[in-house]
Amino acid sequence: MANTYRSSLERHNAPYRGVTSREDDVNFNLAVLHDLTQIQRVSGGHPSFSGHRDQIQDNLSAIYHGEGTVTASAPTAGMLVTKTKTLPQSDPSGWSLTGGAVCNQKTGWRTWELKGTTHRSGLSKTVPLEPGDTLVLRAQISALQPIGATRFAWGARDFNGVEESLTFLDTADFLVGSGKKAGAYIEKRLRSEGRQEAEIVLYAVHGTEGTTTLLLTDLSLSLYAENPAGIAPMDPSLKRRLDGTGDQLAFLEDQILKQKGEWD
Amino acid sequence: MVLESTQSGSLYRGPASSKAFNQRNQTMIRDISRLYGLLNENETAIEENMDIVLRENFFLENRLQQLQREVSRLQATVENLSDETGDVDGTNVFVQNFHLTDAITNGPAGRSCNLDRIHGVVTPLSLDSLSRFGYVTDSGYVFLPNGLNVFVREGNDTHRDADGQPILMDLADDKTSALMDRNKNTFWIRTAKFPLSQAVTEVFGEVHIQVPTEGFQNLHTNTLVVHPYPEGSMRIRDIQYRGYGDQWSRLETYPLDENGEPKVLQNARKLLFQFPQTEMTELRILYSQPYWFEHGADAHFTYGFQDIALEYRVYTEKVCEFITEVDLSARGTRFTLVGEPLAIPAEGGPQDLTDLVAHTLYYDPDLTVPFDFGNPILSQLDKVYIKTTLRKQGDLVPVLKELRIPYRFRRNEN
Repeated sequence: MANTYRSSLERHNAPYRGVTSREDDVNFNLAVLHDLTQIQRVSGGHPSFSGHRDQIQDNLSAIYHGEGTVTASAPTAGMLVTKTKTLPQSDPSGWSLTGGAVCNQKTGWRTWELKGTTHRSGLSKTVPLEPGDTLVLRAQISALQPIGATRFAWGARDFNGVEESLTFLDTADFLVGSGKKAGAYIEKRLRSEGRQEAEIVLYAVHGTEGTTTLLLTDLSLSLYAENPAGIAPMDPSLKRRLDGTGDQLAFLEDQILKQKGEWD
Repeated sequence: MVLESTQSGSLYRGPASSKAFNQRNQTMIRDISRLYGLLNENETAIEENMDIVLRENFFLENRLQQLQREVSRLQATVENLSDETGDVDGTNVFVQNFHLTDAITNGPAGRSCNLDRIHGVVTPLSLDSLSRFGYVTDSGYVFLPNGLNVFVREGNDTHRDADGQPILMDLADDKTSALMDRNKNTFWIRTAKFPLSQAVTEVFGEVHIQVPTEGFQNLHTNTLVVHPYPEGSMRIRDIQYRGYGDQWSRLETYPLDENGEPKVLQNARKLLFQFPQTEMTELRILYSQPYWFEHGADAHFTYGFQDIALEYRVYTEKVCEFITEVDLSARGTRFTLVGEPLAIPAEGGPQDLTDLVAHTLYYDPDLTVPFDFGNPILSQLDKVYIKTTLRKQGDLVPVLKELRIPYRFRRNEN
């Protein structure tokens, strides 16, 4: 985060009125010296302090060669994520009902009402996954009065060798009018470790039984691509990989032309 | 930004009155306040500018990964096409360049190679490197002696002599120390500007370096490193040197075309030239920039170098090795034959690698038993390991830029 520096001579509520004593004059001169020293340090003019000059040089070195400390507000490492695909028939019409649940489409954009009364009543859908796939359940969820059971859940069953990979949610937190999470979008990510047919579930009731009515808006199943993001320095990384890819393409072109020659 | 306090008329005489005294102090306060403003602007700008570069860097990296995946898919497609020739077995060639070295394991300590990803080459290990341009102290300070002189000349394709060669004029440039200071973060850059109406399409240049002779035991050199800037834009047209005689000679390993003329290296990347031991007192590099930016009514040609290094490298006499793994498991195929690999020499190095490079085939990562190239492989084998050995012979040092391993394959039955 960028600092804000302020001159010690700056007095917003007491403008400079001139010195009336030797002491005032000395104090004024000392304040000037302090400020000049601070400007020197912050600019990078003092060898013992890392200032702007060093930061400018380090930033260039970091992005060009992968060396040096970065001065920036943006994080220098993290995960680059994007939704690559929304699975077909993600809305409740593409799911199966479990435990005697009832699900009806309502007026309004992509809105469905799911009602369940018994443990694990809700929706279920089988999705084929490959190793490394990140499947995401996402929806805007509200609970309607009266609340029967205390919690609902979503996630997967028999996923990555685990019987239940569920997130449990307090139904009261999603109650319309509660001022908490009603109408908020929530998501659950499931990372597949192998090739599998994953059973994805959304239970209106999990645990203590009772009638629960959930409003589901924009329910979707999507695949996300998550790639680690870090600085790729220009010289040792970006340019070299461009060089290597360029060489590979040149060789491929050669092979394709040779094959055309063989077949002609 | 003009400092008000320096504009005062009584700067050196001092204030003549209390009012002048206070006025001087007021201007100093204002100036210091404005300097702080500038300081704070720089503080914010350093972070903001880096934010801009960082975020785009992430996406460039992402895009490059996508392109690399597409190239891999293309390779698989080409492999499938070769499968359709009617033979039971498909044929393909595994190409290993040295910019991307994921499939390579370097040899053990004492037998390792120098895998140079920056120049995309592999050489025997260098035990020592003596710069011919200066000295590097223990603290990393680069000392450039007085005898090191650099002269720069420039011309363009609208001013030529009777033979059609561009006429090069001397340029005064006092920033050429960036060429040889061994600092990756300093660049020698020139931008030549011409009105578009002049129709210049290429700017030619020459860097002429006088190598210092005092303080060195000898003038032996065997390695030249040239890092053009911007990388991938310039043409390197020739490299020549002079020893103690008057004659200019071409660098022995500078590539020639089919007519025996110096080859123009297009879109020059970072270059490494390895040549037999040579005494040099002067070096000149001829280049050109065929790309320009049009801005308003002008054409801007930008060219330069990040580094030029002339060295004498002492290479190990031992045999060096690296191992290449060729893995077909992801494609659902297996090897039926592995052919003799072909080592491609780098331009700028010896072209005849006979007796300098050898290969051995193994079927296991521990390299227990060698096998012959060209023999049918009957077992279900989807990985092979090629050990490549490099050795210098006298003055000749092998510099490889690519390894091509031909093989035949068959799809797995299940």
